[in-house]
Amino acid sequence: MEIKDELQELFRDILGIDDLILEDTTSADEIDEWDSLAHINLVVAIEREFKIRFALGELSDMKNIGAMIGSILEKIK
Amino acid sequence: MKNEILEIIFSEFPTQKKKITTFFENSPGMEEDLDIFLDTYSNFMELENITPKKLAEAYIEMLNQMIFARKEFIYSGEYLSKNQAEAFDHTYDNEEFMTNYMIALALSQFLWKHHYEVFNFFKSIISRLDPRSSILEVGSGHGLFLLEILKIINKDNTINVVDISKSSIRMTKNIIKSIDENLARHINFHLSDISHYKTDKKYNFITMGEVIEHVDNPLKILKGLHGLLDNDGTLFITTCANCPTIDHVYLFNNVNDIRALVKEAGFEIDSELVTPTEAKSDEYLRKFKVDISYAAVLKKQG
Repeated sequence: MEIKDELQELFRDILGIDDLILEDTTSADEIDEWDSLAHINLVVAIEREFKIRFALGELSDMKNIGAMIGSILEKIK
Repeated sequence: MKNEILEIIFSEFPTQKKKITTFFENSPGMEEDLDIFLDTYSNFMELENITPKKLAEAYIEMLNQMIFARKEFIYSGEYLSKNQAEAFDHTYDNEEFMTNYMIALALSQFLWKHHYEVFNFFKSIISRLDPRSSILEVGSGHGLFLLEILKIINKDNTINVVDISKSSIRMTKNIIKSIDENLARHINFHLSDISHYKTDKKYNFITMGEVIEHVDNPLKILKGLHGLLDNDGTLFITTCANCPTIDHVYLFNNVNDIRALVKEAGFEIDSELVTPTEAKSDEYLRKFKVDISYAAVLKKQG
């Protein structure tokens, strides 16, 4: 499964939105449920799903889905 | 300046855009106070060579540190810093880090509802203070609370300030200088850990904001302040429960832990403010260990 598809499943689960569709440009601006608390829960869920752990300094580019995918790819390569 | 700073923050953190916009809509005074703060702060920023962009970036950096600390807290249930010596090395003794941290926290007084509410609570308490009071501030940090005290004291009164960080003292001196150079005459600064501060003086009013969650032994600190306080004196403290940041050391699991500690130190709670960072039910706050800010006016037990 592609990373975006995995993220979409994860976002649907964490945010409780069954029909959520993610694009690279999707950000918290478009999703009401994606607030500060949800953002941290999403980061932890991403870490668990992809078996990675972001260090201090590696969390700075998570402002949209495209950026998140980039950060994930950096960690899993 | 406000729009420039908010634009930078919001472009990096859409979640902050939602949160802060909602705060401003629900608390109109907050945005006005932000305008006043930035207007006042601009002279200090010039003294310290801080541009609006740098202020915004410092705030963003702090947010990223808090996200990191919060996510690690979710895994471990513990704060990142194992002891205050560790926190001192990577934070209070690091000039660049401390400068960025303090200016970010200063800005957060007017962007975070819980910080804004604590600040207003403090202002309401000191508005009733006798201007002749003998005053001690422990941990001046960004200097904003001290500035409020300076507005109410007599012209010939002197405040003692104890802070463990050279950078905090420098910044506090500069913020005072930026308002009025003459105000500095009213303050004696002591670069010291409060547990090493020795004096025969007794104070009418002691304020200690956001310190006890940064130390190994908050009970010892509170007991020490009990000894420095007049029998009729007032201790004002702020702290927080479940509030992971990179320099917090002592974990209060809930507000009752804080209440129990102040009582063990020989204080009774005269008034208090409990303000969670999220507007959620008590059950939710407990289940997800949401950050809760706490402020209290304490008197010696009778």
